[in-house]
Parts: sequence; structure tokens; C-alpha cells
Amino acid sequence: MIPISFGTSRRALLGLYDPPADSPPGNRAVLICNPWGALYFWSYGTLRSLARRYADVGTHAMRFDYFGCGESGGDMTEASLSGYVDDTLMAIEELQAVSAAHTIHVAGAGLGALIASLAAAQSTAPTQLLLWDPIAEGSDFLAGLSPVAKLTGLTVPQGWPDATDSETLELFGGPVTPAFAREVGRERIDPRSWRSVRSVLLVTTLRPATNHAPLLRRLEESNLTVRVSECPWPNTETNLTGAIPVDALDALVDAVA
Amino acid sequence: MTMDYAERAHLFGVSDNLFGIHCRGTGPEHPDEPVVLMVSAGLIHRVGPNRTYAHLARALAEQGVPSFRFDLSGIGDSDRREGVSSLQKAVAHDIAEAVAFVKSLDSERPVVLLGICSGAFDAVESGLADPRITGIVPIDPQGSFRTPRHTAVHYVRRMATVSSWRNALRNPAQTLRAAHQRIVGTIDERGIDTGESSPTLVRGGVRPRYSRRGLGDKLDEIIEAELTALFVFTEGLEENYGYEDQFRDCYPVQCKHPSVGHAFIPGSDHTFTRRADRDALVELVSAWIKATRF
Repeated sequence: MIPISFGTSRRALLGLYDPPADSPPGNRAVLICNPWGALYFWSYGTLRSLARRYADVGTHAMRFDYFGCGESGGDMTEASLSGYVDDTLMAIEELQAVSAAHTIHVAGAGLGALIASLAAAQSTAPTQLLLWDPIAEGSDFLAGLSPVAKLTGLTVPQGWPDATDSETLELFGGPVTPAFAREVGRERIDPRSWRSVRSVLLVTTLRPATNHAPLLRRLEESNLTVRVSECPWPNTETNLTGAIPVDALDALVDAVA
Repeated sequence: MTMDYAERAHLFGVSDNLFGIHCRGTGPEHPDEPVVLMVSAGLIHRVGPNRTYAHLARALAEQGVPSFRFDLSGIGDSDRREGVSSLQKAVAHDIAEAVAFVKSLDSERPVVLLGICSGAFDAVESGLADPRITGIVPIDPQGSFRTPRHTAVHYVRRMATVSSWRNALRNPAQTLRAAHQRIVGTIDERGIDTGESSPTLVRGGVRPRYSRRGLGDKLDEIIEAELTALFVFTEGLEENYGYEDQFRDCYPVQCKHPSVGHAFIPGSDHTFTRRADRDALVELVSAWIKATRF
């Protein structure tokens, strides 16, 4: 694994690049877009394993932290979805430069899947998106905040985030500013916007299962090659013990082989 | 926005199997001040719970205090260590190699070991085992800190919540049994012996938990070894800690010694979820570093 500093002086980002031990020219590369908030911490070991699995099968892989997250500069209160998309576009360029790969895949988990989709609307690099338990509708992200808030003894106020006096919510250490929430709430995964994506893998692990029917309908209408892999994963308690959803990783690795 | 710190990622250790980030200020450095070594908290990688370590490292760097936050083997981006017989031995090797690494960058600079939760346990154990470490900051170590005042604080708080009354009315026998155990004894609600009759450590969780007497012995060793310590507590482990001077009430003799400091961040949870609590931790640690001769 090779740490890579990239981004700009105002937006310093850290990437972790796993090159394959033996890489033929013209090979493929996968950029991994992290989920956000508490899920970022819970999935760290799993996504590291995923990157290593890619490297083991001859695929270049890079993880990176969005601005204000993990090891990158800034604070989460500076979060903006458009900023995360810009970070992803810079990461794609960085991965292309270090790997010289001809084929770029972008994998995203949770909110990272939405970010990957928005990046695919601006970049002509990705040929495949790997969407793992994606937040397909930004409004679902907002709806999901209330139960999370309840777990931490908070309540999402009435009218939040659209009320003019909305405050930043701190959920599991992730400050959610009203501006960020409004931005996410407006977006959805829209295959029609993608510039170069030809195929999609949808991996679902969450139980109870999220209803991805609207997303699947949109994917089918776009004449893309779509595969769905259901890999049930019991509960978050298991994730917190460091266990890794091997079936999901298998599906994500097989999809680029 | 300009950054007043610079960070560099390193692979280190005898097999280059460990990963860490060295953070230093871009302004003048103070050679007498220590480098703060931050040990993994539970399974969370080196940024710390809710980025507490990254936040602390950058704030310290801006005050001229460098740090190194790293992943213990098998956590974050560090590989598993081969050929060790126990987790605790692996942790001891990892920390020793991290100390060697920061000493290779600046051999004269004192080393302070800081850790939250399991990292607090590791800070105490490695701090006592490794003479190159001159200071420790255990944050929310798990121990047997209950005092009569802690019990009173606990019940006053519980009485103010609807759910406590609801539970008590639903299970009056269990509530009374728990109260009896809490007030009279050494057995807690989970049946774990936490009291004076236990050996040094009580098993359970990611790391063992200190018994009352066990941590007292460690404090005696800290004083004897001329190690400097700041024990920091939050209100996040309510069963563990609940008021400002609880540590002093548990260890009145050792706390009189200038090398044993303690502090409390009221309202903070165990993982420093709120930004204000992370800022409070930064203030405590930096004030302690400035005030201490290592």
C-alpha cells in the first residue's frame, strides 16, 4: 500500500493506493468511495480488505478520504456533496496517473455510491459502477437521519433542514449541516446522467433490505448491463467486531475480473 | 485556508507492517516538548473515534508539539503480526516499534503515549514496560472507580429519566438486586467481581479492566518509575465514572503525587462525538504538556 497526497493546497486529500504485485500493461483499476459518517469508521477494515483483494487479483485499487473526513484536511462541518464529487474526480485522475490503467471502475458504499454516480455524470473515465447498499435517493438519506438521531438521544427538529433556523446535527460524531443535508436531499442516482458507464453491479447486504426497485427500474431503462448480488449481512453489531462480509467482497471483486 | 501543520504517512516496524501518520507544525518547534504517540482505540483506525486523534494531532502541531498516530497490527492499515502468542504481546511489540520509529526521527524528544479506551490500558502497560516512554495520557481507562458518591450521582441521574422509572416498575426485583449489588458490593450487574478481592485485572471486553487495587498498584509503579501521567475521564462510561474528582476519591494517596494528574470532561461521551468535547480534550492535553517537565 502506498499513501498518496493529492488534491489542492486548500483541499488536501489522502489516498491509499494498493498496486497489484504483478500488473500487466493495460490493466484495470478500481476507485473505492467511502461511505460517510459512522459507516466510514465501521467499514474501514472491510474496504481495506476489498482493496487488497483487488490487488491480489491484478487490479489497481485506491481508497481516499473526502475533504473533512478521515486523514484528509478540513473538518466535517465543511462537508459539501459537490465538494465530495470534486474530490472523487481528482481521485479518479490520480488513480489513472499512478496506475496507467486503461479501464476504471468506481465502487461506492452507502453515500459513497451516490457520490460515485454524481462523479460518473462528470467524468468519462468510469466504465462500471459498483454500488454497495447505495443511497439511491438523497431523500432516503434524510429519512434515515431520524432513527440515527434517536439512537443518540437526539431528535431531528420539525422542518429540518429546510427551516431557516436549522442547526447542524451531530450524529455519531458526524456533523450534518443543513446545507449538506439539503444538497444530498436534492440528488439521486440517475443512470441517464452517466457519460461512460456501461455496466453496474448492485450489491445489497443490509437487513431489512432496502427497496431498490425504483433504482433498478431506472437502470433497466438505461440499457446498461445490470447485475444484482444479494449478500445478506446480519447486523451492525457483527460489523463492530471487525468481521468482514466475504460474500459481498467476492461479488465486488468478481465484477471487475 | 492555510494549514499550520504538515503530515507524512509512514510504513514502519521491523517488517514495515505498521502504518502511521507523523504530524508536525510548520512553525518553530520546541525541542523539549514531547512527541505524542497515539494508540488505536478499540478497532477504530488511527484517526481515532470521530477523528479525535486527527483533530488532536493537528491542534498540537499548531502549538509546536509533534505527534504520531498509528494503527496497531490488524487494525486500519497495519498488517496482522505473525508469530506472537497473544494480542497483548502483539500490542506491546507494536508500541515498542512505534517508539523506536519516533526516536529514529528525533532521538532526544521525550515520548508521551496517549490512548482512548483500550488505548488507555495499552498506554499504562507499555508506559510502565518501556523506559523510553516518559509520559502517558490514558483516556477513559476501564476500571473499578465506583464510590458512594458515584452511586449517588448515578441514582440521582436515573431518577430523572422516565425510562428508569418504567424499568424499575416493570422489574422491581431486578432493580432492587442491582441496587444492592451496586451499594454493598464488589459484584456488578453482569456478575463481574470488580472489587478489592480481585487480582490486578478483570477479564472482559477488548482489553482487561483494572480492579481497584490493580490500578492502585500501577499508580505506585508509575510514581516509582518517574513516569508522568494524566488520566482523563469522560461521562461516556457512566458505570465507570461520573463526577469531577472521582479518581482522587479512589486513589487519594497516589493523586497527591505531582506525577499523577487527572481530569474530567463533563458531558462528553466516550467517543468524543461532539466537537466541543474534542476541543476540550485538546485544551486539557496541550495545557498538561506545557505545564509538565518530561
